[in-house]
Amino acid sequence: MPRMDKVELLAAAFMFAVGVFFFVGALDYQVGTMARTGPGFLPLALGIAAMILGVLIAIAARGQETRWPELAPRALVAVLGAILAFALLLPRLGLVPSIVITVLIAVTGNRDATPLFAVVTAVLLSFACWLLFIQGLGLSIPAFRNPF
Amino acid sequence: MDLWANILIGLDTAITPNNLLYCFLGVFLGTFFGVLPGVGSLAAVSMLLPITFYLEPTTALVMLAGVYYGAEYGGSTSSILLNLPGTPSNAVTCLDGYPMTQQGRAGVALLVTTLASFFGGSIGIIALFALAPLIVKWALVFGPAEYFALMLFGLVAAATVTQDKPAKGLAMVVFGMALGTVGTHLATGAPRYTYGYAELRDGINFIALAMGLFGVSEMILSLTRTVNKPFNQKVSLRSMIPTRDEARRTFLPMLRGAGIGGLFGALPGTGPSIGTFVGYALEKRIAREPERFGKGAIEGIASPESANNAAVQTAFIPTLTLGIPGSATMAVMMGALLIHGISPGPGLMNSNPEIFWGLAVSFWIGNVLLLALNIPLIGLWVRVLKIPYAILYPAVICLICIGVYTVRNSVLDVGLVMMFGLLGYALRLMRFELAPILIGFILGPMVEENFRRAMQIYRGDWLVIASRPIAGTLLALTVLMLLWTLWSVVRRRRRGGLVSPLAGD
Repeated sequence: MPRMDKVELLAAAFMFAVGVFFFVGALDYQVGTMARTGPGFLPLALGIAAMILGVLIAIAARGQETRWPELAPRALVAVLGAILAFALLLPRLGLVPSIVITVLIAVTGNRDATPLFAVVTAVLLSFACWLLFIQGLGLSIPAFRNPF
Repeated sequence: MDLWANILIGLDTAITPNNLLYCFLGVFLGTFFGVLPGVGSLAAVSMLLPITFYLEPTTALVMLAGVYYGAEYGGSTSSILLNLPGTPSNAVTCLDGYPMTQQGRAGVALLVTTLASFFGGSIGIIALFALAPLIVKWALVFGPAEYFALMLFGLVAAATVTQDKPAKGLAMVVFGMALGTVGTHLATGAPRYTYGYAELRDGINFIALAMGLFGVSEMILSLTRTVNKPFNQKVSLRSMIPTRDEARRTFLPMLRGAGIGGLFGALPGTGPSIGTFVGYALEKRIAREPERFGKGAIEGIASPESANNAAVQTAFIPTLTLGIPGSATMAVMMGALLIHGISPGPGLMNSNPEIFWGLAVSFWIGNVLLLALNIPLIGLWVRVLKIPYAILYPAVICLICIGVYTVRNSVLDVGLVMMFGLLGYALRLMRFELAPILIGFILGPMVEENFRRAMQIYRGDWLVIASRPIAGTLLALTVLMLLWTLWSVVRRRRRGGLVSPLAGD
């Protein structure tokens, strides 16, 4: 077997999977005829195109090998976790507590942050958001909300 | 329609104290976000969109447009000083801008990029004034077949023109178009890929997609790099004065850059980044000593920056006259127009001339303001670069979350930002380009609808579409572009194939 670029193969597999997903989904919708295309027409065509492109990327992956990219689990979890926390907490606690918790989670992505730094940043940013969005722009988000 | 009359209509709207104030606010905030590495014009416009909900439509657009081109001006500052592009379209400026900083010529580089930006922006605005009325006249004979062919051409151009691996570029366009099919099918009302989520019936929220793919994934990557390179060079006004030789070598690249950028900006889908790459490649190819490039050649920053800002201005041409966004950021601007109840398209210039021409005149006022902001006040922006990333990124997360939430008061959209952030990060690790996803996503539904209408009119007969002069030419160009791409890939592999067996061992 010729040498393959693993990262490119993964990219090819991803595209092929996208193609399969949209192709299979499109089978539930009406394709119609050329003169009267239905809701399934474009997704079906795109699914086929994505599968073909997946194969093409795999063919192009022959040749040089490259190293796996380095993962950054700490930054990934901190940033995504902060956003998820905001989405879950905003309807329950209101803007100010949500921002405090979001910032506390986000700050853990930074190796050098001390607890004092985290608390000060969270307080300052929640105050700034309250000032800008609720006092300044009058957005209709409650600042605090009783969760019970 | 008389050019002077149009300028007067525009001046009447743009010069009111309120619009001037928001124009200044827009370019100021735009420059601020542009200077910050990792916050591009797309993220800046999306984050500031909720602020404009309460303004008059024209004022809101004047401000958002100011944020857009302001960010492109500011983006070159961090490219030059830190070797980190402020926005994706300033990436090319790093190649020769950062070496100039290492040689102690940062001041000259900053002055030249500002002047080139102003020059390119002005050319772009002139093109907008001259071409927009003509295109509106043309657009009246545009049917669905022409719209379809034009958008297909733009999509293929966006995916292949500067791509190292065109199959991956096309793959991302296809992926974007596929994401665009989520939601209700326009013609029949059938829901697609919604899986019972009522909110997905309106489709995936574009702002959530853009912020997740670009803003969030970029942040994760920035956190893993050591970002805070110290920058301790002093940039004084005196250090900005170029030598006579540098001044002489700046003008022609600036002119060529403006032409190239203006052209790519006006094409739907291709946007400013491609113009900067092509502009740089052209300068390198025609230079007498191409080996100077990458080591601080002034042509290498003058041409792309001029191209970038020309493209930003001409990107408004297809958006305002045809209703087809020229770039991803333009799509957010178009969303802003729709939120304010204005539908861009051939009718806008006649039904709301004060909005159209007022906006166009405000661009030029904004560009003059940017000249003032970027030359005497450069010290301020250098200081902005000293804000530690540790404070910056939690603030940006808050702005993204609140910004996305307020677009339609939906926490599901905030959850989608997280999902697309993860997806964007994974795609970056797989070395995919992300911009074509957004372009495919925006143009996808329009391509679908126009294709459906064209096929209905011509009873499913391809040949009739291909034989219409404008549509046929565009389709032929699209096919040629695909064939040329295929040929160049095969040629490169043949050449590469001779070298690579040795290179690996």
